[in-house]
Amino acid sequence: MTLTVYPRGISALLRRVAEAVIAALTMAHHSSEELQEDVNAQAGRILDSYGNSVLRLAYSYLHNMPDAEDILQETLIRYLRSAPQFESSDHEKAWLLRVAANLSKNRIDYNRVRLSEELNEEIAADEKNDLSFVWEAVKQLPQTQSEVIHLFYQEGYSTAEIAKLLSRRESTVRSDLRRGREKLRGILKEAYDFE
Amino acid sequence: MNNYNKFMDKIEVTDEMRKRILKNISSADIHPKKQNFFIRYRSWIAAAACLAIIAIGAFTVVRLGDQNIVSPSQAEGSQSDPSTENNVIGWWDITECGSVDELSQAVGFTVTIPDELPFSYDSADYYATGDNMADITWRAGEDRVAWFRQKKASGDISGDCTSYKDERTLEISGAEVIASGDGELIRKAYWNYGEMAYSLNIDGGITEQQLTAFVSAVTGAR
Repeated sequence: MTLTVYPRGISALLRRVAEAVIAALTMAHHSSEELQEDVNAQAGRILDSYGNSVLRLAYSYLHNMPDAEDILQETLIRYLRSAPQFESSDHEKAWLLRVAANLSKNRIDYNRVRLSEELNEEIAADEKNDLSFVWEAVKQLPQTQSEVIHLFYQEGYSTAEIAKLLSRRESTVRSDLRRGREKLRGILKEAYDFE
Repeated sequence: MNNYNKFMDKIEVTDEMRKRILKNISSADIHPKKQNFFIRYRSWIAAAACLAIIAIGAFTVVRLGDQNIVSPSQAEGSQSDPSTENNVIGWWDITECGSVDELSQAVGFTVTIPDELPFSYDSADYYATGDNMADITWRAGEDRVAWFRQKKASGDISGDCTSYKDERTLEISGAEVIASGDGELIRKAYWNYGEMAYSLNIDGGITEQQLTAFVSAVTGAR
């Protein structure tokens, strides 16, 4: 009994291992193409779902499109490399915005940004011109206030959510929001509509 | 929708930008780690690790059973010590205080700050973190901020990992102060004195003389 069953068990195990090895080799053979397809599909999905939000946040920090586009691309690359798992699309978006914010801050060289922005005339010259006064006002805010203003009004986050996203205290975020509004009210006067 | 939203809504990923980014990403080295041995065989490694944990756990249980180890509290049938029940206290447990005295009470030691600060400020926020660290934020004007921290600890408690161009060690009132910044101005300093660790961050920077006055006042007051 033992002599008949035991070898069958061994042969079955060996067959399974061989099948696994063949499957692994087959997978490895096709893996690079499939991985690339996966990467492209993921990148396309992220761009379609969150591309505009990430681009706008980066723009709010860097004040020019080439840098903002670079940050969007780098954020995507970070996402694809780390392949994080999320409970929900809200968490996924918050992760992307957090990475984009950090990458943008790393890139900021205040003087360089100001200089490049002065040279970046197409922004003022194109169709956004009629609203550029609002952007000009927000640009004058300190970064800690403008990032809160952007995330609050553009992305609709609460101050608690912004605090988590930026790793700051909620009281500080609220304070920055208040100061930012006050300053915008002073600059924009009757055109102020941040309520 | 306000005018800021209207402005921002015109900033969007165009078809050209989308194509450009996808093209760059497909030529970027996105998945080098996937060729890595550990990634490729991660399921096998995970299975082996699980087996190892189960084996170690089983071995430990058998050993404990053999030795019949019972803690004194278990033997007496008492509850676990409430002071250690929630011993994982996050830094994010922050209490906002109204004054330095209130902050001192919250952290359990005297928080010392100079009577005169080396910078002007128009608001101060006092926080006690969950791990008994005093954290004071001074705000000057719209965008100048300084942070001061004090905690029963040693080493650098600033939380500032910025790589500054210059770093120097200063001897101030018996404390060895590590000061960092860009050029002449000091943007970060930390020091230990007695059982306390301190740090000061100033986004606009202060001079060595101003830092000396600050550290002397803090350590001298103790």
